[in-house]
Amino acid sequence: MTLYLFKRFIQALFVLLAMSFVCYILIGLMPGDPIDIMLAANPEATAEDAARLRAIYGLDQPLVTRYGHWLAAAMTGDFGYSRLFSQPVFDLIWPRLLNTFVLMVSALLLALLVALPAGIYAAYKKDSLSDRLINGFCFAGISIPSFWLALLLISFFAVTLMWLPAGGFALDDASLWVHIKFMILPVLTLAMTSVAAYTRYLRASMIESFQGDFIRTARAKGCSERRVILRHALRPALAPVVTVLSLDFGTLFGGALIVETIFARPGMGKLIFDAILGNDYNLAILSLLVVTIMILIGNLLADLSYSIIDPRVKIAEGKE
Amino acid sequence: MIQKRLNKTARWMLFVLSALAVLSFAAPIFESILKVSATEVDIYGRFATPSLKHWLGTDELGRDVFVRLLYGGQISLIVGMVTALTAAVIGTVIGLVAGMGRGITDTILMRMTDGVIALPLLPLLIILAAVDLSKLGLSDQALSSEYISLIRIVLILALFGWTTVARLVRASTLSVLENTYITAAYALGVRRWRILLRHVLPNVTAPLIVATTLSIGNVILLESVLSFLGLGIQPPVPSWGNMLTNAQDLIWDNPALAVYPGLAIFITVIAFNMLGDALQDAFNPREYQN
Repeated sequence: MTLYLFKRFIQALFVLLAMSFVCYILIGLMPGDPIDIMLAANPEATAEDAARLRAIYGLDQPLVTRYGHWLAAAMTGDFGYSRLFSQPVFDLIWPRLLNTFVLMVSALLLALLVALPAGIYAAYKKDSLSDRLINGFCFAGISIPSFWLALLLISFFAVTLMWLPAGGFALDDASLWVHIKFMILPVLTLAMTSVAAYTRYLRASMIESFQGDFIRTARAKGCSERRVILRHALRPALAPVVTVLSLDFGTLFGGALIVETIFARPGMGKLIFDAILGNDYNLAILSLLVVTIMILIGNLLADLSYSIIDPRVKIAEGKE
Repeated sequence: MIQKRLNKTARWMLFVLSALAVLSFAAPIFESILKVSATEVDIYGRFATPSLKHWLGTDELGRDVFVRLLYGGQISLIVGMVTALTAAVIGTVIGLVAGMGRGITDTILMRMTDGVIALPLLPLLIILAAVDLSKLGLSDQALSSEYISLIRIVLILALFGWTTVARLVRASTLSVLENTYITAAYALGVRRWRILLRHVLPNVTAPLIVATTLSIGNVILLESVLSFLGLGIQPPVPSWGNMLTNAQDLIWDNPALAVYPGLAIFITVIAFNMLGDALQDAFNPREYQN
């Protein structure tokens, strides 16, 4: 187990290193540089000023050298300042990470809360009218562009009915209900794709599970239908769903980025989007790395829970 | 045999997609018959309501929404299919090499695949879509081409889109290689690349076709998100995604403009997904009977 975690840790470090290098180079290849933006704000600046500023910020050196400096500083825990926010990037990230985390976990829970019963029911009543309806809903869910769904929800619940805010974020001292009101549309948007995907996978693996001999045995020995479904059929069916879930964190974060941008919520997604477009190296790279770590941890947790759901799967000590 | 098994839904979806393709590529014809323009700005004719001339009205710059939708359809269909095919080719090569090579080659390629799958896709696509191509040494002439944003989006989406196919092809390859006819072929002294082309490749085509069809919908969704965020297909070239960029501001006064492009994306993607699903059933008779 320890060895397994150690291996995963080394692998994760490797991914992060590669990721930081690629992102640093790519952001360096974006149009303009921070100095261009500074100069645009100051009409009196001359070409010499620009050159001097570039030298101060080290922007006159080749990209790879600059990455080396960044990496050396990062090793000591110094991730630099954000140019857009004029704050150390580390301080900027934590509150936003919490927001995004709450958003993603709420969406994930909502998705599971809907997908579990829907998937089980559809598989149990295979080919019935309700199964077809659920199936149709799933196809719609995986095919709808989430930004468009967000726009539709805004236009219906915020513009027409005026029940919910069209976006933004509740003040810290607002009541819990106000906080929830600001969360409803973003969470609904984010959960939609996941609901559809999980339901489909669960339905498929439940159908397979229902065909197993152990189900016939369970029924023959007189188990109640409820027990057959929840104890005998569900458990083996969950394993493939967990795999899907673990591969889904990246997609879920992509969804969070879209949702945060549209609903103007301060979170990691919006932060990354603004940082990339604003040429804010330090901020963009650290945010991307934090998000990658979050995804890697999610993958690891899903892998570990796999062996809880299916005890036959042992996390191997020696080899994988 | 396949046609026989394709169910009613799948035929409907094929019909919908063909109709979409025909309509989209007939956009110039509609433009000349209706005497409207997809790109010409008409400040006095903004937000026109649907009429015989402007079937779906006009947008915030007075351009005809219907014809713009058709041009956007060309973009979505081309990007979706070309990207899915490119990704399928990359994925097939990687999957075959991993499956045939086994050992260390397999391990390295599959770890790489796992790594790519674990990355936060959308932020990376945003960075790649924002890279300044002139810093990569592309000539101004190449950059001013109107196809550049099209080619760029196809390339960056294909760069991350190959993973599913690679895993699938590798798995199929490994299971095909278990067969005794492969051992027989080796025993007869057949060369490896010939085994690959004659025995392995034909056996992986069915899952390949299904995966590629299913990925088209995904690609269209990603393209529309990037264009929506202002990073994909650049205006004035209309795409379904960039037609929605301004829709959020207009939603209070003119919600209809936010409906059409999204609906078009939705219908196209759902058609590809249902088609892929039906193809899967058709290729896989055991599951079909379930």
